[in-house]
Formats: sequence, structure tokens, C-alpha cells
Amino acid sequence: MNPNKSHKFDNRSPFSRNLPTVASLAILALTFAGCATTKHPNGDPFEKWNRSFHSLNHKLDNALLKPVAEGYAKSIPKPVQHGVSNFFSNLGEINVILNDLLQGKFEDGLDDFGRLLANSTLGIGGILDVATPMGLPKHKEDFGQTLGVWGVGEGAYLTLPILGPSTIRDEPARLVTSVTSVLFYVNEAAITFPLGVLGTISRRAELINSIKEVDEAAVDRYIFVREAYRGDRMFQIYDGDPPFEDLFEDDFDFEDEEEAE
Amino acid sequence: MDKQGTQFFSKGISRGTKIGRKNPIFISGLLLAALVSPLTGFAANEEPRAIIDRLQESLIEAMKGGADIGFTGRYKQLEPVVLGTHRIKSIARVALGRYWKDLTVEEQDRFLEKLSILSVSGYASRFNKYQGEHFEVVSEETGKRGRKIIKSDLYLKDGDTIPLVYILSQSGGEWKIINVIAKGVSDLALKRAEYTSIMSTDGYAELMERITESIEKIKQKHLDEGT
Repeated sequence: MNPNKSHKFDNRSPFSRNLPTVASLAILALTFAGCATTKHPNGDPFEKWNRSFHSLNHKLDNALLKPVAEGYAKSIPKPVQHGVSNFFSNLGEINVILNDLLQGKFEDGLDDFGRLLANSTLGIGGILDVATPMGLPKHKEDFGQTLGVWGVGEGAYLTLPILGPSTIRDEPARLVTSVTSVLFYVNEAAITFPLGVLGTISRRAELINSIKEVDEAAVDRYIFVREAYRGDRMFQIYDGDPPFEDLFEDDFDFEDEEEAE
Repeated sequence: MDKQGTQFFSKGISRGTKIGRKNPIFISGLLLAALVSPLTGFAANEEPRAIIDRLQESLIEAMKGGADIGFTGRYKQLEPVVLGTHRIKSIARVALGRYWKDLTVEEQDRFLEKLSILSVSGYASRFNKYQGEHFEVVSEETGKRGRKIIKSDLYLKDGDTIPLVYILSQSGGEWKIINVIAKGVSDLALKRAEYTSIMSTDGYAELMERITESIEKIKQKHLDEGT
């Protein structure tokens, strides 16, 4: 790497360096914010675009990411894979703590702070998850869930190129997740780029079986992913106990009719 | 069985009372029960909890059969259980939404047949090997319209759990499953979104073709992998 170039690059603040990402997300959020209030029967007013991006992402995944992730899952020893996964999970712990607090889950916030401390020190920079056996299990929180807890509706469903499924409500979470990660403040692209690639491969490797199941079970892959994404987000927002019976209540009227006959 | 019933049964068998040894009606009743239960595997008017227990025990059995019995073996083993514990017709009607009533009776029947095969195939595919997994029922609640909501956890080999919620309705005196929600993802919501979307854009014939393709894909995958 050219040290002069690197030095020049380093003078910029993290926000300046990530300005293109921040700006594009802000523009995207503003662009779609108006549309989010528009009622749509299936909450998917951009289905045509979304389907195109879904198809593009699926092709890119099959051509690039999936083979690399499968190779990674087969050739890298499991303990190393766990270590990599733990390391990235630990980097995201500040985001979890922040959202614990924003949702008023102060006890969880304290526990997750304990997790961060234990895993960052005894767990050698987060490579080992020593906190879970100590009675500090991992929580999954992000800013999209926080907005859900605060009562913000999910808004339109989105499929973004390369980034995948999302909703209007979940888009600001990308920004919050980025700025709460230590990597956002590291000025050296020689560190952040390979780590970013490794993190992406590791996450994709963890999803191998789930995506296989989608490919197997889906009659319409796009719709399947959309509904599974929404169901999963509801599950997370309600901490594993979402309301269940609100679905299609009127459509079960025939059961009452049959029972009465 | 209540306490009195248990005492009667144990006296009849272990102490060799008059009833147990000599009463031909009692003995023939036992024989009939012994003959019938392995065939049907369940009693009529099962309670909701018994329905879930039966399904989950059968899934564990199928998993234990694994690659030895193969996909076809698991399918045959699970078919009567899945069709006996799920109210496929209700699931089909809700999954097709407003399009159900537009179909002829023959079309509805063909759809029911495909959906039944797809449902059994899904179970036979997912529950394909045993690595110490087990189910535990967590709670049983009464929901809207007297439906039963049974929450259960599937414990995986690595200690992870998959929370499952079964919603059962009663019709004609029988309890059956009308929806399964795995980790927040509703099977009925998925099916309804997929099927109504295809019905609205491409119609019944395309839906049937896509379901047939899905069934074939599942079967072929297991044949190729020898699982």
C-alpha cells in the first residue's frame, strides 16, 4: 500500500470516509419514506423491482458467494469457523447493548455489556464465546427491532441489490449497525476490506442449510423469502412470542359453517 | 386412564382375576385393541396434546429411520400420521383465499391431493436423520374460537432450539392442526402468500405445475444424495 495515499486517507473522519454509504442510505430512506405510508394490500408496492433485484441477487449468490461459502464450510475446521463467527458477533455487541437500552431492556443491556467485556478479554478479542457458559446468553437486537418496539410500522418490503431483503423500517438499522461497529472507526482499508469479505463469507456459510431449505420448499422463491423475512422480524421484535392468531381470521369462517351443519 | 381404570386393568391382568382370565368380552376387547392400534396408531377424538405427541413421536421415528429407509420409506411412514393430524382441506381453503371458491370440485380435489403430497414430502425431507433431537411441549393455551395453541420446542444436537407453535381447530368432534409456526414463520402465511400470488398472475394450471415441480425437486434431491 502507498503510505502517502494511506496517510491522506486517514485524515478524514469516519463519517467523511463513509459518506457515500451514509448518503445513499439517507437518500434511500427519504425516497421511500413517503411511499411507506401508502397502504398496499400485501405491503409490497415495489414488487416488480424487488423481484428483479431478488433474481439478480440469487444469480450473483449462485455464481460467487455460495460456492465460496460452501468451500469455506467444507475446508475450514469447525472450531475456526466458530471463532470467526464469534469474533464478528462480538463486534456487533455494542449495537445490541445500545438497542437493549433504547427498548428499555436495562437488565439485558447490563448482561450484554458483561458479554462484551468477558468475550473481548477472556475470549481473546471475541474469538471464544466464554460469556454463554457463564450464564450470559447472546441477545439479538438491532435498530429495526427498536423501531418496531416503539410502534413504527414495517413499511414497504424492499429487496436491495446485493444487500437482500429489508423493509423501510429496517433500513436505518444498517446505518446504526455500521456506526456502532469498531470497524467503522478503523482507518486502514487493508484491515477493513478483508475483514468485511471474511464476515460476509462466514455469515453466508451459516445460512447454507437455511437457504437450501428455501430453495427446496419454495413454490415462489421471492414470496417465500419475503414472508419468511417478515415472520422472522416479527419473531425478533416480540422476543420470540409474537401474536399468532390474527392471521386470516375471517377466512376460517367456513369451519364454523361446517361445524353448524 | 383414571385411577379406578388403572386398578381395574392391573387387577385384570396381573392378579389373574375372574374378569381377566375368563371374561371372553374383556379378552377379545384387548385383542381387538392390540390388533387395531398398530394399524391406526391413534384413538378417535384425540385431545390436541395427543395429536401433537403423535406427530412428534412419528417424526422422531422417521428421523431414526433416516437414510436406511430413505425418503420413500419416511414418506410412507409419515403419510398416515401427517394426513391424520393436519386438517389439509382447511389449510387448502385458507391458502387459496378467495380463489378457492372459483375452482371446480375436481380442481379443488386435485389441489388437495397435491397439497397433501407436498406436506408429507416436506416433513419426510426435513426430518431425515437423527442426531439426538427431541421435542418438548412447553404450553397449551386456548385461543380464539376455542382453538388450541400448543407451543413446543425442538431441541437440536448442538443445543439450539427451534420454537414451534401448533394451532389446532376442532371440527366434526376431531382436533387437527391448521397451522404450524416455526420460529415465527407461519407455514399457512407462506403458502397463502405464494399460492394467491401465483393464482392472481398465472392461474391454477401454473400453480399446480409449480407445486408438482417442488414435490419432484424434494424427491430427486434425496434420491441423488441417498438420504
